[in-house]
Amino acid sequence: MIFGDNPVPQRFNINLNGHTVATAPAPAESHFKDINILGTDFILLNKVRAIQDGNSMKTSLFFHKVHQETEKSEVV
Amino acid sequence: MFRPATFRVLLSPSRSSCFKHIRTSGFKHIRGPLTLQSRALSCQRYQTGPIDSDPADDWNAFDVLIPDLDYPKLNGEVSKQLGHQYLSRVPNVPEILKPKREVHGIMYGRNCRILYTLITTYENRSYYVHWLYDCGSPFTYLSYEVSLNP
Repeated sequence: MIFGDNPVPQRFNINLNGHTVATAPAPAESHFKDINILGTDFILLNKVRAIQDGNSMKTSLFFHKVHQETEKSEVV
Repeated sequence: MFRPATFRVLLSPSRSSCFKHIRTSGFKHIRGPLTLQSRALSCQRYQTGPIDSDPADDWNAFDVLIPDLDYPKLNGEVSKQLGHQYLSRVPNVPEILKPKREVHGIMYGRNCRILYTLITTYENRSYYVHWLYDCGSPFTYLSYEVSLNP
């Protein structure tokens, strides 16, 4: 989809909510071809906090870097 | 005439090395969270072979079974719960494309799959993509629908 008719590279960078992450297409012999997997590399590199609430069955991601950038822009 | 069953133990020269291999691989995967330092140390300490490839180091060798999620579910039920149609284009409005500090998701199904909709951008094209957060995956993977289909 995102590559159109072009060949898909083995590793490429995409932007998720303003954060660049190195991504790979799902391996050809894998069992998760239909699913996009957000790995721990994205969480660790961007210092994201992931919180799950088993009561409401909701979950949230908190982006630390975006918070800092908005604070700086507000100061400027 | 009743004859008790006898078991023969086939001795081979590689038997002891096989057991050793299994034992070391068992230890290997019960380790703490991978950091760059620990990964470098583990590469020195444990040599991986063709049978025992380390999925944490080779992104192409990683695999996980997720039988309760597939494309029709992502396109239907999950899209309804998350509030965005799967793989739909994001309007080119700066307010929408602006990175958000908080992203809310759902815990879906019996296995409580953690799903988020993140605005995924590649070369000025943005889509609403549903991502499954898997804390067992050291890498981020894009599905066939997103990467391959024209």
